[in-house]
Amino acid sequence: MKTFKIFIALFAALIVQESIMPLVLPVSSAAGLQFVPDFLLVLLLLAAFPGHLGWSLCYAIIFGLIIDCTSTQLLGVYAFGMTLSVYLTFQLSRFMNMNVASVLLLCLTGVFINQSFIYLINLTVGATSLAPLAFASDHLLPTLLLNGAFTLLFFYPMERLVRPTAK
Amino acid sequence: MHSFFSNKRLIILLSGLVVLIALISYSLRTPNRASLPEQFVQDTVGWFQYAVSVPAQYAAGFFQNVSDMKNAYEENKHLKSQLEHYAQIAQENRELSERYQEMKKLLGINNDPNLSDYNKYPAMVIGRSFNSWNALLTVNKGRLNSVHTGMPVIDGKGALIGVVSKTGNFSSQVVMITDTQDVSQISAKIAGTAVYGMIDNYDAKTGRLSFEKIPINADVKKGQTVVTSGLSSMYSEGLIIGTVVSISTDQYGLTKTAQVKPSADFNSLDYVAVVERKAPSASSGR
Repeated sequence: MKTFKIFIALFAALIVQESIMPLVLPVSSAAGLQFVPDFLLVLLLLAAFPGHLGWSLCYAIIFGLIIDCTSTQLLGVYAFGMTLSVYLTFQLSRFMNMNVASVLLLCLTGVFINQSFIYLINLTVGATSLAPLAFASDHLLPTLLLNGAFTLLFFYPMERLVRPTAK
Repeated sequence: MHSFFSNKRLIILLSGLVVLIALISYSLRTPNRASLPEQFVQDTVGWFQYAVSVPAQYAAGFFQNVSDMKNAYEENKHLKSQLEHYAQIAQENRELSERYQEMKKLLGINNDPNLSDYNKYPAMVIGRSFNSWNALLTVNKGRLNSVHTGMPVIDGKGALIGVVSKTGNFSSQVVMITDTQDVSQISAKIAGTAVYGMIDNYDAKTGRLSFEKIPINADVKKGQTVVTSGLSSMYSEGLIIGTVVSISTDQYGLTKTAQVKPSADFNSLDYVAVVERKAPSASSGR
């Protein structure tokens, strides 16, 4: 039942990310700053830290493929990027004490890895001509801010959801 | 020292990379048709997106209404002044279209559809790409509502938004003209003239489309409206693209390039219309 609840939470994050966030914070191309929600990844990381790495990796692939089908033109980018960032961030988390600050830092690292990976792929394919510095200031910084805020909001609810099922 | 990747993991990582590259090259192929699993995922998620976006748009619409109320008085005054001419223009329009139909009959081309004729299928926007790399929309009409890949999509004012790129059974994906990845060239012209050119790429920084390959001696002015030419198989004639804001000569001095400000407001799209061109077309180009 608990694991099912986590699945529902992840799916809800996906829908919020895809249908509600563009209404609230449109990724306006002219205004400059790009706040890109990566809520699903943050929830996956929060579920992974207490010891659900296996699930998180599976969910990262499944939900990544869903995102790829519905809101990108390149298949597999989100699936691979999210899985990689969950794995790397989890490995990093082994060296750290788990408290709010370090979880926030780790989640931001995960979002950073994911966004940078997607940027690199898009740059390689020729889908974007954004310079690395412009990417860092216009895209990465606002995105990290948005997802950092999301992490702080959902740290405790997610912990309550995940903790009872932890090994 | 704890290692990040053991041998087994390294192999998994590398095979993952191979799969990724295979998937990317699969999705970059042209023409791009949605495969069955893609359609299934799109339709399933589309259903949830639809269920969520109805109340979400209602809420967003409420805030929009509140901000609209502030300048309702000004707007009302402006609209009233425009309304005075409306009856006259409507009458003129009626007479002209009657004469046009008569002349078409005289010429014996009564049954041929115009380049500008189209059917409209209204649709609701149920999702947008949240990342900045793709400018995509998801709308709640799919193949069962006779929406096909390559149909243009317009907003409520008739301004061109994009093209249907993938269709599921109940929902479809639209690539907007602001997408920089899609190399969509749109055959366009200056409204009311015979000045033709191509809408080529979109500059995200300035928010302008560039209207290229205009003949060097063409008389293009600021403020003129750019519309689709209808000379391609996809777009019917006269879909509004935008207005000219500046004109320059290209780097070789052979043609002119105009910067065009899109007419559609890409940030607030809730209802759109998918357009089906009535006139037949021989070529398969855009």
